[in-house]
Amino acid sequence: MAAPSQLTEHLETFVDVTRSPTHHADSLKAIVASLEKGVLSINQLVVEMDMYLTTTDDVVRARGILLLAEILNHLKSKPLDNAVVHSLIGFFTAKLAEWRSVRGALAGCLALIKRKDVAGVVTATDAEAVAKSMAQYVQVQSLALHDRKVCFELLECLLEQYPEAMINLGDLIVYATSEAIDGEKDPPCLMVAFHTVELLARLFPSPSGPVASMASDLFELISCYFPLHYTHTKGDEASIPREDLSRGLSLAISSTPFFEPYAIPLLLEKLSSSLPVAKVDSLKCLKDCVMKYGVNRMKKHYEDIWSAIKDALYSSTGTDMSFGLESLTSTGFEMDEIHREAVNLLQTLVKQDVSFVGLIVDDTRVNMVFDTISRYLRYEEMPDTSKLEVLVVSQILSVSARASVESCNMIFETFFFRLMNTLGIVEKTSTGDLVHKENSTVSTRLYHGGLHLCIELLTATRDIISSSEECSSTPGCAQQSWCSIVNRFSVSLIEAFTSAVQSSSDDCSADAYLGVKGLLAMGMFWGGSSPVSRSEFEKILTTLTSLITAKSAKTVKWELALKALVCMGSFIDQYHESEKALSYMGIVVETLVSLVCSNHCSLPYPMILEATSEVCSTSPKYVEKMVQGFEEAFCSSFSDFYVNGNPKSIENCPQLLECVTNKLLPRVTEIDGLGKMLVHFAISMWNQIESSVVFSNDVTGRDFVEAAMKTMRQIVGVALVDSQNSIIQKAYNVISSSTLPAMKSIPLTFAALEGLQRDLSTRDELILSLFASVIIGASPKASIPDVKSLIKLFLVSFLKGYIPAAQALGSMVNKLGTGSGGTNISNNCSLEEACDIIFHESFASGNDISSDDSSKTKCGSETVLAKICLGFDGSLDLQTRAITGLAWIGKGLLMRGDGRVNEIALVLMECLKSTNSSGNALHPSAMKHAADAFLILMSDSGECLNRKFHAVIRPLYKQRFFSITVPILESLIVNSQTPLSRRMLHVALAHVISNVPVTVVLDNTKKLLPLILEGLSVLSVDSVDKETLFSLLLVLSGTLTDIKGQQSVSDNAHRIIECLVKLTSYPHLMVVRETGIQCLATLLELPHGRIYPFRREVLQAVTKALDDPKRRVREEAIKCREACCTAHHYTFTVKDVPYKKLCSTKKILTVNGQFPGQTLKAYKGDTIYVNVRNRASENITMHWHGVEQPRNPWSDGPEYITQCPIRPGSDFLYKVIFSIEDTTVWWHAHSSWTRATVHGLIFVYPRPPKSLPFPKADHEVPLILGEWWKKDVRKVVKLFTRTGGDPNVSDALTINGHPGFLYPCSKSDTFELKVEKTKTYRIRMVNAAMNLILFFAIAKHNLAVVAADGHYTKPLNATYITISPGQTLDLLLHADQNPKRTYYMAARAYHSNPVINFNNSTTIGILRYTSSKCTKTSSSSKRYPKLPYYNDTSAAFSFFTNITSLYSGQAPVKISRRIISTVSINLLMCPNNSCEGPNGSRLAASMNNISFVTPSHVDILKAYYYHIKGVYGTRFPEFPPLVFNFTAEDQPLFLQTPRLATEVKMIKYGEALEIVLQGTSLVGGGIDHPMHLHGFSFYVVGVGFGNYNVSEDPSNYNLEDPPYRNTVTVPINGWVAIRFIADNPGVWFMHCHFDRHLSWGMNVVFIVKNGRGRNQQILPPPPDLPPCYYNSIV
Amino acid sequence: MVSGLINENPIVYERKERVRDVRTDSSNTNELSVDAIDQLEVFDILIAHHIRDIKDPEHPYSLEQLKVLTEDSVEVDDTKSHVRVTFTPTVEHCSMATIIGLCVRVKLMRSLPPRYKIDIRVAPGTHATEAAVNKQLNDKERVAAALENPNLVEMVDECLSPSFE
Repeated sequence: MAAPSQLTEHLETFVDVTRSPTHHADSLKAIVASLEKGVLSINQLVVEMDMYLTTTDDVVRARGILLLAEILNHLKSKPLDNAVVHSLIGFFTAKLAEWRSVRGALAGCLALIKRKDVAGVVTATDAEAVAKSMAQYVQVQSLALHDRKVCFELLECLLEQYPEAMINLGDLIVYATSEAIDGEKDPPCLMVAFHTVELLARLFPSPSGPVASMASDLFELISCYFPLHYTHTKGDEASIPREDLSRGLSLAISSTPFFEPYAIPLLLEKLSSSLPVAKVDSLKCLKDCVMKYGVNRMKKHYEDIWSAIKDALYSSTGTDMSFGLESLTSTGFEMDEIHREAVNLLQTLVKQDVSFVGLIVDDTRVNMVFDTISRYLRYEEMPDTSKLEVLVVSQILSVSARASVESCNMIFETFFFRLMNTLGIVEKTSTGDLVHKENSTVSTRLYHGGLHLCIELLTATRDIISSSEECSSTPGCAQQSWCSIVNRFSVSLIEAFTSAVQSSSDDCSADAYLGVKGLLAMGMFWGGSSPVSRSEFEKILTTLTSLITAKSAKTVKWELALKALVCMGSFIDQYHESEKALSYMGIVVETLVSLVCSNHCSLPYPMILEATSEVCSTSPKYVEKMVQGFEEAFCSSFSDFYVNGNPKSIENCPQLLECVTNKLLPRVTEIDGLGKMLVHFAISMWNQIESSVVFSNDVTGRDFVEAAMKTMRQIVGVALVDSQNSIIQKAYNVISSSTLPAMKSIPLTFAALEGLQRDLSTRDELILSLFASVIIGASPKASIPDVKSLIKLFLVSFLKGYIPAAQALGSMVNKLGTGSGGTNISNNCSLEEACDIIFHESFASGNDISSDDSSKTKCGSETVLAKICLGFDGSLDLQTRAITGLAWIGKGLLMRGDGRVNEIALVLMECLKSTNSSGNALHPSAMKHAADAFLILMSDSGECLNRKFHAVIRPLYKQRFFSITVPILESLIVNSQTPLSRRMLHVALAHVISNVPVTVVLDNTKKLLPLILEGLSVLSVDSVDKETLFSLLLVLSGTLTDIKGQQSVSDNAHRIIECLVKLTSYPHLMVVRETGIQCLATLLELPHGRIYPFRREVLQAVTKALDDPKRRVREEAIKCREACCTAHHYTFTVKDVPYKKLCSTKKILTVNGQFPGQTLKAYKGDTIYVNVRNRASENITMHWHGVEQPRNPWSDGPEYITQCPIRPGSDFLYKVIFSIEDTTVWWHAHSSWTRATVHGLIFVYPRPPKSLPFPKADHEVPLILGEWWKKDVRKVVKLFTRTGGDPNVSDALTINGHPGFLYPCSKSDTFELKVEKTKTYRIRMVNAAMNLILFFAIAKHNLAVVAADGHYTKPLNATYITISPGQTLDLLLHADQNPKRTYYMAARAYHSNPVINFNNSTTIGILRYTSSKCTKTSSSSKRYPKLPYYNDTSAAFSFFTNITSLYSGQAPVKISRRIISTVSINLLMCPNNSCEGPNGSRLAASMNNISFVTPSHVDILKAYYYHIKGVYGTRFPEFPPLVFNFTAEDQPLFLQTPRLATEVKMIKYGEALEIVLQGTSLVGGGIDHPMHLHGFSFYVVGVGFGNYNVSEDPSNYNLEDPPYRNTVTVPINGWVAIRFIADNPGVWFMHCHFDRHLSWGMNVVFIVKNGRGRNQQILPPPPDLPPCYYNSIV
Repeated sequence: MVSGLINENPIVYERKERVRDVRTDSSNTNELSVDAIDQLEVFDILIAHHIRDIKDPEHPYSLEQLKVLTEDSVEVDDTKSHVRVTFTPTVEHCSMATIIGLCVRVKLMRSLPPRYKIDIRVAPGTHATEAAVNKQLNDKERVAAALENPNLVEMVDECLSPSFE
């Protein structure tokens, strides 16, 4: 830090609490950096900081101290002067007393105390001072969370690092700690607190110390947390897991013996609770206590603990035992946590004090078991209670026996004799001595329970041996008494177990299980002093082996015996028991191996193999033996078959080989020397072939050849390069001695090839196949002799139809010349040469085959492989073989990334065309092979060319091939001439697409999706392609769910659905149907609008699939159907969200955070449910503008007209019933002015199969015109209602929320519509502005109006449109202009009265053609639209009057009632003319001179429905109360004053109404009024200027095709007449859609009464209607 | 509205674990074989199968837990396209019986092929107005009319709505 000013600046920043935390951190970092560099010393800093540390401003001082503390915290490893540390710690200690700066003081103390191993450590005296000061001044529990944690850490540090100082403090520190902990609740703090208790206990171990004296209090503090119970959510728990904290608590409780009198009773009590967590915790804690408290203290609790353990064990043990294989080496039943902990505790207890065993020995329950087990002979007979007893007792005994040698002895001495007695092995003589019973009749007295106990005890002893051997070299176990006991009985025990196994029938698995388990237990003793002698051990082995060999079918017993043998084998190997290994080898291994060779055995061959391989895999020695046996068996049966012609002898060979590949090969890395043995095996295979020169048998034995090839490939694959070389050499010798080399003679004539169908001898074929396998398996480094002639050999043989030859060739091409080092495959041939041979070696064409095309193929001419593929020469067979061969070679090249593969791909694609270049038609079969060749090229092959067989694999080779071939295939498909060729091309493409990684497809979804869809429809024609179809469908389903693919999926939705719908009835493959339906279900989750039009098709298809023959398809169909039907629910969460427009940000009310709100979509006639959740701070209601809601005024929405508002925090479910609406309507809020930002469109679609009456557009464009205030709209409303003047005009107009670039800061905030030339766009538009009628136009583009206010109109071409607030229009835009230019769309006000202020700005949107290539357009090419002038009334109304309904003759001709109403602006007098309206009065508005007063406590609908009196009057006049010249220029002032009232108009159900709305010139000369009626659409039969004339004007009505609307504009100083049938019962609001007029009272309510019919009554109210708060009797 | 629940304290039974693989699933082996719709499949549709689960309108328990429906209560004859479900109301005078029956019917109507004739009955002797309920549940027009009633439809939809467990 160069200048002190800089330091000061940093200091200033830190102490200024108004700065952001990042600023604080930055300045802290800067200061620390300069200190570390040594630019600044601590002393200097302290001097510099002096002012901050001592100032009287509390906040600054606290921050200053904190800064110093933080700095010290960062300097933990910097050496400091001792004096400095002393003065600093003194300072902080002093500051502890001052609660304002306590945070910094604590942090400072901690930072200093923590210093270790560096210069400058706090001295013990200082530490003592700190502790004292803390104890005196710091009230830990009154601090904030973070500070508490620091406190605890400080205490922990002090106790840990200054034990002497703390001991000096004595009582004080204990008091301080306990006070600090008292009441702590935060897990991280508790963690530290528990540790401090532990430390305290360690500091004061003396019985006269402070901990001892305060043990009871201290324990009370920590025991209240036991057992720990988290009430937090999971998120908080993540910081400190419950287990850790619980462990900390347990350590604290067990920390000192002084807690014993309090802890053990508590723990025992908690153990008896029913809460599992409490039990587990208590058991764990008890275990800790047992270890810490010492035997003496614990002794008095033994009995209680013992009974608690018993209870826990009995209650947590299940009675179901499994007799499966897996439990042979484990306990055999599942343990839950309580059980496990109880067992642990028991073991710890016994380990600590052997005298605990005495309790067990004397326990009546335990003893009782021994008396009762003899009651039940078999497991099945035992009742559950008895099973439980046996299980628990065996657990108890084995656990205690396991604990220590002494306990083991005790247990055995007490119980084993009794056990033997029950089993009948010993008998009590008359004198009371126990004697061996000679020739016992064990077999008759097999008691399940006894056997079980016996086995458990035996296993326990085994564990004793291993533990005692491990920890010390105690003299064997022979001296121990248990050992001698076992020894005494071993013979009879083994006999007992053996008879148990043998006597058991197969249905009784329990006995067999126990028998085997017992034998296993007996066989697993080890060491020289084992209680089981070698002869006995051998007896066990013999018994088990005989069990295996005797059986002729796989049974549980057989598997158990095998498992037991395997266990013993690996046990012997593990403990290097050489003697036993010999016995094992002699008895088990040799018997089994001899069985393999003999193959005259009742046991099925696969079982012999399984047993042998399992048993032998336990030790390398046995493996060696086995491989030898296998070799022998192979050789004998091979020669027997081929030389002697015995067909039976070969049957076992494939199984044998399979056993080698599946069981042995995977373990090569585990077992030393196995690799060598296998190589030997392979070579002896070749030897055998070599020696059998003449095959007497001509049967090939397909299975055998395949198995031999597989084994050979894999052995070579895993062998080392040297071994590979020797195998290759051997194989080469065999091959060169055979008749095969004759085939290398190329050029070969076609005639010869044609003639040579499968003309190889059996032997040659076998040799060739095996040799190919060797080549496939060889690594690139192996050396292959005579590569060139081998290539030729393979070339010729694959042309003859030997696929392995082609694969070998592919493998060779793949590996040539890539090995590094001296010896490799290429030492006599390079890749170039090889390819040259393959591609350019000529075959002589014979004279006889060029008959069909003699002009081209001359006699004796030569041709190459590629030409054969294309069918120029040779037969069809030859052609298909050549194609397949070429594919394998191509795969070899492709994987190593060689460019030549492209040529091959081109040849293959050439084959897919309907005709080749010479105009010959290609045969379908050849095309099919060519298409499948792509599968070979792209898919992973298990047989060759993979990592296992050392193939050279270049990364991303599939992607490369994909990007090369797909464009070519695509263009070929476009130009394909025949359906067949098209299909084949699609097959090829499907192979390529479905084998490339999905990510590649996802990156190109836009391009690929049409291709995939076309492919799916082409492939679905023929059942042959079903597998290909399925893999392609899987690719499609992958793109549907991925985010990357979603856009193009959405764009192609209709095609995808069409395609999938077809596939749901695909007859050939069930999975295709299933996946198809799944895909449909996925698609339904896409943005609603894209899918909605297709819902019906989907539903039909899925309903059909409900009757699918396959259950799985039906299940998917049900799911998908449900997904279809649930698309009717929406959630609208109303909340405040900040939006930035026109340079400033304000919070606006939104639905789901969106402005404008989301578009809802529905079919005509649908019902949707919208749950409105008010999460904002003001009341709200929602209105569905233009939706008639038949009989359902409850969901209509105007505040206090049909409902009370939804209060903040509450919800209301609107049920929106669509009936006659056809096109676009909208939704908006309907309380106060909230609709300014809470609005959105509703798209209604014709219900299929009905269609639109106008051409379907390519795209739909929502377009919302709006108004924006920079001020909070709520404030605007508040202001003008308070002052009585005009509201503030808005600051901007918006298109879809974007003001457009004419406004400040809005350059990027401009709506842009991208169009494609020649496409048609349907603009669905609403004017959502609050107070403005708008003109709208798009430069150079005409707009065709096709619908207005949700109903179709006759198409009307317009250069501009006029739209009043609340109106909607559907406009067709045809993108037919010069696409190189940019066009603007614009909207601005129509405003006829110059006296009234209005927003005269213009909003601009951009129309851009996407097809235009030049992205930059010059300014001259930009076009602005022409809009009528602001006050052009005739322009505005000529548009309105030109709109006519699409349908004729619908409007009511006769009416039953005519209501005439004025609509006018008025003035109300203010006291002292204090308002801001004209002349100091208040502005108002009225209909028929009644300024409508909105009820404020209960809504009119509820008042009407529940007959609440006094809310409204019913005397709205049918005729203006005062008739005057409504439109005269000057009006007498008395006319200006309205009557304030809440008057409704009652209408009978079904009346044909005409309402005439007459504008007036009162107050300022009049203005237009967009009047909106809820609950109905009406026919606008007449409109005119001036005063309405009842006698004349009706004759000019348009009753033929008047527009059918819900919002009509009354012209300035004019009138309109509307007609409708009042057939919708309910309470319906009519109001001016200028919201200021609405607020002033230009409203009326119509109540249409119920009719007589059932369908003419208001629906019952919904249950969750927002409540009103009114005081009324009702 | 009736205040209080009709059966406030129902006995709740455990859900039976179903073993699915016991059934012959021919889908993997033979493309042309037909899995006929059987008892268990219909029961699965009603109870445990998909995301949605029919619930007792009064209790959050499923109808299986209340033993209103059991596997044996479903009889299916795929060849004749007929299914009969017999359910047992929790108490004899349960006025919810018709609603439960309606739910079962709607669920089956939505999930079974249209060719099926669905027959819903109350188990004999388990309901006070057994005959009336049976008649109501199997009268095509009355069911259609019931489904016109928005309150009933809402209730049925509520019963069939997913239980997020």
